Amino acid sequence: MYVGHVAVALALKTREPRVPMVPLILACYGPDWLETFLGFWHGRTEMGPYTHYLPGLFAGALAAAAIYVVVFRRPGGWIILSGWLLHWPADFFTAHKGLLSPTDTVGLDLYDLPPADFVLESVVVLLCCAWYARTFAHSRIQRRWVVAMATALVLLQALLDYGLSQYDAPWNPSLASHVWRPHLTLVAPHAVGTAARMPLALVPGTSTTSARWPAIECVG
Amino acid sequence: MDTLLQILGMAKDWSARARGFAFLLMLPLLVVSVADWRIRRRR
Repeated sequence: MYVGHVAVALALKTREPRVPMVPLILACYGPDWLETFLGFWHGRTEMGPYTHYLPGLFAGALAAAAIYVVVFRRPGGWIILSGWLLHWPADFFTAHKGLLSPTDTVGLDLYDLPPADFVLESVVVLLCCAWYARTFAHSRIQRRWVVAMATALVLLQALLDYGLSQYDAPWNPSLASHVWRPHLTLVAPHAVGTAARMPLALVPGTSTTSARWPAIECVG
Repeated sequence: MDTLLQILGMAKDWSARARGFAFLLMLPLLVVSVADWRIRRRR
């Protein structure tokens, strides 16, 4: 998601007006900024999965909230935490993001359906701008600034969806890993061979309980 | 031309691609920061 993240920041701002806007927006784009920062050294494509999968997301959110509380010494650390964590559900609509593993990704992939992405993100921006205006913009001039902000954000989204779109990849929404893997393997008892049982044996095993034990030579 | 390639993410160097991505992230930050500053200054 592109401008949708800033819409989340506007909505969170209405919950806690004491949080400055710049750190709030940085937190809402936090995984992207971290990915960009790490990308200067290791390549953004390589680092992206680690900043966006759930363990990386929670680690980044906790670190960002702690830094905010220590540096700014203001209330609202939970807003910074929420902004960072909400990055994942927002990105779920537009791309593929990792769950517990950076390689097992899910998402609705609307980036490959630009008109749908544009409509979704524009609607989110307009709703959050209206919410922001109801809280902070009481005069006509203030409401004009909100309208200008919403217009600029929608134009930025259009630029991304239509101006900078470079791939003609097919739309590929995914709610699960494309490679099927069993979570629990059940094997019929008769299919269990010696090789399968051996790792569990505490003593050298026999093929069956009726088989003869190997002769043990007693010394002494 | 090089700047355009960076923004498009098509630059050959991944560091240049990261700079292009950072530029894209800066745009909404600037728009909303300026608007919020103007709106809240007039309260």
